[in-house]
Amino acid sequence: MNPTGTAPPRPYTLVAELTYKCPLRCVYCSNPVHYAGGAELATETWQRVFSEAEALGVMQVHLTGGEPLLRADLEELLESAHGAGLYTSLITSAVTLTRERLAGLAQRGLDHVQISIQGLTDEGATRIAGRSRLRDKLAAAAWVRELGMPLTLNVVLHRENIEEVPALVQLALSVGAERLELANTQYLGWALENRTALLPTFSQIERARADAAEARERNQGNLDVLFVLPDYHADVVRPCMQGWARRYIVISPDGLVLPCHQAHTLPGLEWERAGERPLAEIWKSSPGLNAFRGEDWMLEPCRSCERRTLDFGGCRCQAFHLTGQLDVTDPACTLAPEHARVVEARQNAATSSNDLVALRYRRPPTAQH
Amino acid sequence: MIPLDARPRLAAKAKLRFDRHSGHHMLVYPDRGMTLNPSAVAILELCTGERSLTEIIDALHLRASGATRIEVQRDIEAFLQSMHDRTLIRFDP
Repeated sequence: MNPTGTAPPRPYTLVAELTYKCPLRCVYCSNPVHYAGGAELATETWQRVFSEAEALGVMQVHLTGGEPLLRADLEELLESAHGAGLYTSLITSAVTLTRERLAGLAQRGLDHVQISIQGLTDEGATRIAGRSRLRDKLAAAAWVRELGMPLTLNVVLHRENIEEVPALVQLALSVGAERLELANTQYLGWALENRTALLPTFSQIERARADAAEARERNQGNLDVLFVLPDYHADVVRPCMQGWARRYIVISPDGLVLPCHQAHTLPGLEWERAGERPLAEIWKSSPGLNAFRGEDWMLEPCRSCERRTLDFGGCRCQAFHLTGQLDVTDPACTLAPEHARVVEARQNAATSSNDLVALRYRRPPTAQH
Repeated sequence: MIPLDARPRLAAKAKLRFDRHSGHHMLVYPDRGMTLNPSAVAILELCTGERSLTEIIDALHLRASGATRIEVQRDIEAFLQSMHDRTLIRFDP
């Protein structure tokens, strides 16, 4: 725990989940599987949060969701975030984007746009996301560049698209993206429900990793190719969110101040709501945020491990969802007592057939356009 | 090797910001940030796409006390190359 009086770490990034509404229903969505749905934060509350976050040290904000374009007040929110001096990124599927709206956002100071790609074929994208057409993405990507903004393409990798890395690199180059984020599915939320269908084999991942490394080398200086390894196949665990409540503040659509997108799915932790008291106070003394700060909570093998200052014990959500315990070493770590659970999932992926496995979808889209 | 007539500029995604909390300048770009020392700031402020590498070296050599032009050139080239490799500086038009 963080004793009262100790200065909390400085956060650099605010992840503003403006809404969970989304026209897509991606089978790997990181939004909660069981979401009762509190009221979304009001415009004024978000606006206050942006300046309070800046005062805490935050330099950039990700406007995300769900689909942030479904907030009718997105323009006002962006204006406030920009006005507070924050670097602003719009994280969108672009499915409902129009050129006119994007131009308005550019005019209000939007610094960067990230567009997610659900598939290179309409058939593949429909299976993964419900509806998502590549030609709409290409149009949106072209608008971003015409309006002079930098573009990231984001692709969540899974068994059905992981062999498309070279084609995805070509796509990123052809639309003039500065960054290509190839993020292996993290098996939480909807992705954990669909793990059997989504988890690639080790050889698929090795191939994709090599393709990404080669593309990174070849396009150095021109396109930044980021390859986010999946926990299940890495030898070491990710420094999830660079440590619990350390560098990132995540605020859910209903205002919970969290260390990550998933933390409110963990039992027994107490969260505070943005707007109910100043963000600086919440950041410093929220019981949930303090629960896994620092190292005092760690058990062996983390407690005496030399990597504990690098990986912070891994992902708490993964630890809980795979073992039922909050404070054990992330099972993705080869040193974890429960590592066998990850090995087993990996073996199942290696031996299961390539036939398409039935998928579990998010509830029907809550917003139709 | 960076051509001397290249006109380096910050990548569109990278913004130079003064960080009032630390008193240092930072380069902020998607999901990341980098704290800059004063000489890095001096170089980046000249990377507007208008000046050639030669002009940037000349300008900073005039300001550098005691350093030879070749030393200034070496420092600037090494810094810009590393920034280019991270896709934060572009040399193309």
